[in-house]
Order: sequence, then structure tokens, then C-alpha cells
Amino acid sequence: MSDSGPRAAPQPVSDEQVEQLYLKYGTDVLRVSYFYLGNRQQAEDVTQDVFVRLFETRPVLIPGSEKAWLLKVALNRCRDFWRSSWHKRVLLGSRKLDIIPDDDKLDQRLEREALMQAVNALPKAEKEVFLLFYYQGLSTQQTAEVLGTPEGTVSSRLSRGRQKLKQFLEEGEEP
Amino acid sequence: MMNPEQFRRAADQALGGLKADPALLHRARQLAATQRAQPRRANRVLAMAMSMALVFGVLTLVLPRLNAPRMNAVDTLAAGGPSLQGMRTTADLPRGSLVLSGDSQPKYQGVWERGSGGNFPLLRLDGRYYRLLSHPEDVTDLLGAQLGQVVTFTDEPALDAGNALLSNVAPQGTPVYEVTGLGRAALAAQVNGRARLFQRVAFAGSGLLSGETLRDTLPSGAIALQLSDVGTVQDAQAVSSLMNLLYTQAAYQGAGTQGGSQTLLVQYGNGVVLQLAVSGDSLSAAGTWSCPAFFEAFAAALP
Repeated sequence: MSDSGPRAAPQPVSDEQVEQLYLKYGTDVLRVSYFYLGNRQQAEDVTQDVFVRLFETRPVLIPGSEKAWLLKVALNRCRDFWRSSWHKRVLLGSRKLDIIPDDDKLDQRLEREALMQAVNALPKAEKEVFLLFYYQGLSTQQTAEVLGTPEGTVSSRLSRGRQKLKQFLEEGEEP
Repeated sequence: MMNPEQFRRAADQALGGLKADPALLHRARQLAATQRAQPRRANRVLAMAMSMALVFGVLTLVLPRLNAPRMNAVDTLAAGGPSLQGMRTTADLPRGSLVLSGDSQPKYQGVWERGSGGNFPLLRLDGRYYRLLSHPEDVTDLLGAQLGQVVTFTDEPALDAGNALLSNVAPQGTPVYEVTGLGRAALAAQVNGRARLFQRVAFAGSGLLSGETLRDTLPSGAIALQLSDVGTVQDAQAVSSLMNLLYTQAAYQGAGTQGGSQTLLVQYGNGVVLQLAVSGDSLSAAGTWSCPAFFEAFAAALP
């Protein structure tokens, strides 16, 4: 992984390391959680839970694997939220993702939003793979480790997702 | 048209306003500290309880005589029997039936005045109960507006279901005053010729009233905190921080009051000292509050 954490010898993370990890990856965890859940408050709760767990359990993180660990815990918590709010999804349907832009670059906004909504509308399994592979830059092997699935499954989900995305962006048909 | 490879950039731009701020990390750290403290404290209590049970069991089985209450007994002798030279007889009672009780004063320092029988000396005003304090002995200088006069004087305040101004220590007609700077947390009334201070407490299932918070019964502005057997915090910033911790994190458990084996004394700049009974992670006065974080922070704030 090109985006690695502190290169200290493997040992339980210290308070200082947790803070460094938060500064480095906190926003990634928050955005992935938001993309997954479509709810800012829940995404913040998930992010908080991830770092509470880090403070509490003090795991031994292999240098370079910190981000994968954080995203794995975050996705597990997202799934918990997803399962616990099934009735809202069933009753209200999938929510359109609210975009929270940093600025107002209107020229690319429509295209960008179309891509975001297309990824958001992918089936959950394919959306997870897209978030980890394309958004967070993990390799297929790392993505497979985080999701606990074979690497081949990751590849096939990526392939299917790409096809659906293309279809959506070219024809406007929801995946 | 955008493709999946552009997703990262698109997502970063689309969600650029969503950032993990320091407040979120601060909340996570606090939550983790609270959750860590609770099991540790519980384990400590459990270990102590098991040790106590073991020691107590051994003492009870092996050394039963040491388990007897250590009180002073008065020797007695049946009346009419042969008198012993130099012995003072009392009554026709079995040996050991007269016992002088030991000192029942708690070991810790407190300001709650003790009473006779099951009740402590108190006042009731507008459904709120106030307990007489032993310190200061006169608060004439702090008297505010008069709030009323004692209407009902009774030895059984718990049985009075009315709402009249009541006391079991200040006679009927005694004027009752507010105390400057203490709001609803304290009152003053004449007791035995001196203006005495009463602190808001829970009594007979009545703790906080609707809409009240801890701050209503424990005002801000403390200058020192003393936790018995632990120490005293006098640093203004630390005291303020500890009080804020109580105001923001203490969870109300109910109107019950736990006796406790410790006290927290809260001293104000005008010489007033209010008391809370401490039991484990809980503090009691006008009801019981749980606040493990306070005790951790108190220990850390000690000089």
C-alpha cells in the first residue's frame, strides 16, 4: 500500500499514535462511512466508534496496515448500522446521497455528482469494493483482506460494478 | 464523461466539506476513558469484596470471639444476691444486657448535622428538603430575602403530605431566608438563636423536582473540593474543571441517597461548605448521581 502509517516496530498503539492515525485517516474513515450510510450523523458515530475501539483495545498494527484496519472496523460498524436500520430502508427506500462539496466548482459538478450517485446506487457488495479500491486506493488483495472475501471475488465485483457504472453514466439507467 | 478511475478525485471533491474534526477525536477519547474506567473500578470493587468475604469468613470460622462487637459492657449482678466488695450493682438484669454503644460518628469529616431518631434536622420549602449543616455556625451575613415562616413543626416530617413550610428543628413561626449566592441549593433559619444554614438534600423519595439539574442543588463558584481519604483540590482552574465535569457528565440515578463511606466537601468563597456523600462512583445529596469520570479526574488533579 502506498499510503502507509507510522513505521514503528509492531507494538500496541499509543495515545500519540492514535492521534496521528486520526489526523491521517480520520477523514477517510468518515467519508467512507458517509458514502456507505448516506447519513452524516451515523457516519460520525461510526468514526467515533472506530477510534474508541482503537483507544480501548490498543491493537498491534503492522506498519502499513493501519488504514486497512481502520476501514475494516468502520465497514463492520456500517454494516451493523445498515442492518439495524433495515425498516427505514424498506419503508423509505435508498436515499440519494447528499453531496457536501468543499467549494462550488460548478463546471464539473454535474458529472461528479452523476458518478457519485452511480456508485452510491451500486449493490452493497460492489459499493464496498469500489469504496476501498477506487476511493481509498487499496489493492485488490488488501480489499479482499478487509472484506474477508477471496481476491477473485473482489475482481469480479469490480468488473460488474464498472459495467453497471458505465451503463448508468451512458444511458442514465440506475445500476 | 467520468470513469471509475476518477472516482477518488470526484469523491474527494464531492465530500470535501466532510472532515474529521478534533472534536470527534476528543469525544472518542473521553468515551474510551469512561468505558475503561468502569470495568476497572468494578473489578477493583469485586476483588476487594471477595478479599473481604474471604478474610471475614476465616475470622468467623476460626476466631469467632474476635467477631464479637467491640463495645463497652457494664458488669451486672442480680439484685438481692451476695454483694461483692467494691462492686457497684445496677439492676436485676442478665450479665451483659446493658451495653454502652460505641462512637457512631463517621470517621470522615462532614458538615451534615446529625439528628435523633430516623430523621435529620430539616426544613421543607415548596417540596424541596434542606438539611441543617454544622458549619458555619452563623450565617447572618449571608441572609437574603425572607421566603416565609415555618408553618408546621413536627417530629415526623416524612408523614406530612402537605406543602406548607415545615421543619423538625426550627419552631413554628421561625422566619426562613434565602442565602446570597446559593440559589435553591441552601436556605437559612434561626435555630437556637443563631442563623443556621440548611443544604438541599433528598428526603422521603423527593430529590430533584421537574426541570432541575445538579447545578440547581450544587451551585458553581466553588473554590476548593475535598474528597475524604483522598485529598483536596484548591487550584481554581482544576476546581472549575471538576465542577464542570460533574455538571456535564454526572448521570442522575434517582431520589435515593446512598450513605457512603466518604464525603465530598465543596467549599465556596463565602465560607459555605456543602457536602455530598460518596459511595463508589456515586455522589448523593439532593438525589444520587453517578460520575466515574469525576473521580478519575479528581485523582489526576491532586497536587
